[in-house]
Amino acid sequence: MSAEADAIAPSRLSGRLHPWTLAFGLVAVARQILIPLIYWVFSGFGAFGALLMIVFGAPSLLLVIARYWSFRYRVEADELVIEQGILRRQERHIPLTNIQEIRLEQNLVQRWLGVARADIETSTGGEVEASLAVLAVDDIARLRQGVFGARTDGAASAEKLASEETLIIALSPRELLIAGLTSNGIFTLFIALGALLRFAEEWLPERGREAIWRALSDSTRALGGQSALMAAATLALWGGLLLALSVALSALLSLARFYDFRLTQQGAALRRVYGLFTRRASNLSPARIQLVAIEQTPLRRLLGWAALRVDVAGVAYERDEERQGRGLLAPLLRRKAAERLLSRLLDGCALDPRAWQPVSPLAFRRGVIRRSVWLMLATAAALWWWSGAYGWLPLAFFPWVALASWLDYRGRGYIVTPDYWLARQGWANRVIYAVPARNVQAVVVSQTPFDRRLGLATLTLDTAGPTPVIIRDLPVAEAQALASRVARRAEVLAQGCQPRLA
Amino acid sequence: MSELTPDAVTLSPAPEAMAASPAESAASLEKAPGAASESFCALDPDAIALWRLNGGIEWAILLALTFVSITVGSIVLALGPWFWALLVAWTLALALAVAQTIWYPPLAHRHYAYRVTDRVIEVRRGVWFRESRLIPLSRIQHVDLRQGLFERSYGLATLVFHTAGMHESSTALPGLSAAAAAALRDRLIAQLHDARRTETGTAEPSV
Repeated sequence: MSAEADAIAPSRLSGRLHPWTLAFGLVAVARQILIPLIYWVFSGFGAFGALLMIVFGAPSLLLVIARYWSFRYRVEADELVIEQGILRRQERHIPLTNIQEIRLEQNLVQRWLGVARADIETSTGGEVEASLAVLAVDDIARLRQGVFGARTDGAASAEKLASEETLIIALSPRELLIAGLTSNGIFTLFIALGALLRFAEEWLPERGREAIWRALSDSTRALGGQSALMAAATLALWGGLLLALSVALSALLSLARFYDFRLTQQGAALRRVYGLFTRRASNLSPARIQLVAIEQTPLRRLLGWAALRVDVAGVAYERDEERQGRGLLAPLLRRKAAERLLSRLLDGCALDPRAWQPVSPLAFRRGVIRRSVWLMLATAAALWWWSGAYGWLPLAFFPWVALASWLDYRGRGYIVTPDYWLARQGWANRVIYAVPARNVQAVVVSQTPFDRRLGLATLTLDTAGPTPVIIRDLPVAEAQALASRVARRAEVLAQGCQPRLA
Repeated sequence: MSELTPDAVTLSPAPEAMAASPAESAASLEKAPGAASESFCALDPDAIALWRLNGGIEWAILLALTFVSITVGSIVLALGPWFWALLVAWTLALALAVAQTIWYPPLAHRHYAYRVTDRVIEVRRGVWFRESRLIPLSRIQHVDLRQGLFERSYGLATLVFHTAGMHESSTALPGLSAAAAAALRDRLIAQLHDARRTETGTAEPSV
């Protein structure tokens, strides 16, 4: 496959950063010295401003140039070597077998220039081991070839033949809009409102803010002051307006983040490419998957859509935007398709809807009691506030409490197979977790004093991924038996299935 | 049976887990291979005295600080009769602290237990909030043996098992005699190495 792999030369591949690195570094420095820069411009390009800029900017600028000048990388027989630094020379050796992934990220300008940042992730987890910013896209492809091409294990066989690439999911703009519309838009609403408020506080003058606020309250009073019906209508109008705004916003966000989303399979590895402004590409070896979650918001349940999320061990969570998009293997797909994908992601894992085991029926009673406590508190607060007949109003929600508890109880369940655990929960937002037993790190059975009174327990399966699987309200004997069963199974699977020689 | 108690009836393991269970190595100190019926081990009785000492010191510091702040606060803020009310509350807290220090550690000791069966470590604990933690032996990344100042004077030690998990990544087993802790650690590590060696080397640690 790769010509470099066969070369006997000690250094198969070497290179340095792309010259555009300097330009991007310059922009970063300019951003750092923004305040002196503004001062300089506004003070009529005076000498003092220039001095300030030099004092604050020169060290960073020198660092940028030194970094570009000294940065070298090379792929040797079995390690990737990255050198940098002039005064304090640093040489980092990363064994090739430890490299899990070379992730590529480009913003709009970088895409236009044909360069990208390459983040190298290793199995030690938690952080990006090395970041090469920026390289030409071709160089990254060559680097991938150099790092993964020589490997023979399954994790890298994907790199060998690009022609093997099979498409699993491609999302059209229409589907992305659906994804945005059916996501729980209310959170986007809060984020948008928060951003709006901050914007108003920082940039609008005091008088402007007051004027807007007065206009809002005046119009509300003018519309709603006439009758109770009009007041309700006005309230509904405002609510509807906000909701429409948030839904539209989340649809646009989803479109921008996941534009032209493609999930493909190359050999064993899964590859995701997505993004409108910042294009992201990353590979995922199914062996690293700790847990698969099929998530459904209420709207998606109604329409039969779902999102697929995976937990991966040793992944670098850097920034919020990435944290939101990263674990998402597919932002939107049919629920049936998601269930079918399970067996593709986790070998031999199938979901049989008839196999769901319920939790203890006592869960229903507990749910009613727990939610009623909130209802009582709300009633007490309402009585204290109104001290009239209206104070009893919250009690009218009791049927809703009962219904929610019933749905909650019905929504929960688990399936135990020798190699996989499935758990389901949520009465509004539904999640189905699938955990390979081999990934279980620890099992905890716990009981609160209330649990002990009812003979129930909570079972927690911990994996190396960020989501623990928690099954509440199991009969304690059952929880205990399941726990020792899965712990033993995990131990057996860890020792390999082949017969032991000794 | 509705509670997690160390002396609870042991549960028979699932059949397929038993079938696939590997033969115990000769290095293992376990009496019977795959002995699900191995009973729980209690902690060293000295742990009760240690916990009393630790708890007593913690309470003493807390109560002394509270006493000082009550007195100083009453003088500065001129609380007058309120000072005596606070003092009565403080005395009640002191009585509670003494009772708790004397009465709680034996209870905690009774509910603390551990065992190693079928290459799974199980630690049970908790008086009000019960907990039973099971850790497959091969999941252990490293084992710490800790000895605090007071633990050393009682000849006790704490073992901490670390896994690669994200939420329940460490499990502490306190109140072991120093020798027992070291022996248990060595035994577990020996079993761990034994398993790694017998693997043909193809299987990487999955994390």
